[in-house]
Amino acid sequence: MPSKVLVAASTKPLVLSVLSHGKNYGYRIIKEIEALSGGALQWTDAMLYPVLKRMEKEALITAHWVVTENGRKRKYYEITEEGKAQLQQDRQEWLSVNRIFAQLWAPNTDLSLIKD
Amino acid sequence: MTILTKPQVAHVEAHLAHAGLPDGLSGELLDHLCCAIEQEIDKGSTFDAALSETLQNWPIRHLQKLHRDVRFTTKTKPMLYRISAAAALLAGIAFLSPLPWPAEADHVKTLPIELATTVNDFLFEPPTASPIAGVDMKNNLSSGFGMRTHPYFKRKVFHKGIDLKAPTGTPVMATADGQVIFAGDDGDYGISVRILHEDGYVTVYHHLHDHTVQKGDQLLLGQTIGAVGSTGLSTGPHLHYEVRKDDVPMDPLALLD
Ligand SMILES: [Zn+2]
Repeated sequence: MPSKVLVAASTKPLVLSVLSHGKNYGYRIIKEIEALSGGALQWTDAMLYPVLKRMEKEALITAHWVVTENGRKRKYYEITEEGKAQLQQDRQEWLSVNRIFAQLWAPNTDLSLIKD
Repeated sequence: MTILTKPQVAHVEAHLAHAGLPDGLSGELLDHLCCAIEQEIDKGSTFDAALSETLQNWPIRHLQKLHRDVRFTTKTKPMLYRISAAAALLAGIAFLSPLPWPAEADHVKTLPIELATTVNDFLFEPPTASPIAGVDMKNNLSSGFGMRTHPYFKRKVFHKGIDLKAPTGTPVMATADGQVIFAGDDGDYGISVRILHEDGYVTVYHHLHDHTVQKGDQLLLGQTIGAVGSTGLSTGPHLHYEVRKDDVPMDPLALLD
């Protein structure tokens, strides 16, 4: 399980990423993340719902109720335009961090690029 | 794919009703719990076994904490957490497997030195409860946080907490889970209790009539720690209550909205 800071920092971008594939609901979002991370990220329910509510308040996502075929009410979340813009920005940040590592960890990395 | 019948759903609904959650959240959790039960049944469990397991995983206490977390994360100002470049770099490790250097490599120049991230810490509960059961802090203040004329010394001093009106003997409760770091006579402050919580929060309770906990005790939110009194330099029965974050006193009411 990744550290607390990391979990906290990655939660919103992960929710936005899942929702960028289409609208989804709480239980399924948790399951998607679990499956995508190969079980490394097991969000507790107690963690996801407050984040969803917060993101809704920040207008990154919207929510609406749908009555499913079996007559049960289900709350679906959808990414907003603002959410998409946020995701784009998050994406750049995470990718650039990743690139630095890819570079540093490459077998023949030459740090002599930095001249003193 | 199992789908619960209406009477089965009603069992789950009855459990949720005990938690007294707002309708929206309750409805959402009803669907969540039903999904969890359906999945267990799909894996070969009976409805009764799946129901009892799911309800065990979701005790009333857990549901109510979730509600408080929702309130806390939506009503408080975001806790801005400055993540240093090192932490941001560290963040790259866990989720993203190293990618080949992509064509759009120009972003490396704009590597964020700091990522400002709203951190919701899911594992701890900040002290947002009222220290006196059933007493709303806002409506029972006899003295608020900040500069004021001291009731005893009659000069301007900074009031590091809030004073709550309550008769002698009213039970005082821990406002979050934590460990007692002081319990006893604290001179001018009278009989006092201090509790250390997660994430650098400390709560302080002064002028108690008595204390029922001891240094080192592990407490749960809502556990009684003593009773309202007027010990020390106090002009009448009241509870002086402080919340400190990393040793800095803060207005306990600020945590509410
Ligand atoms: Zn006071």
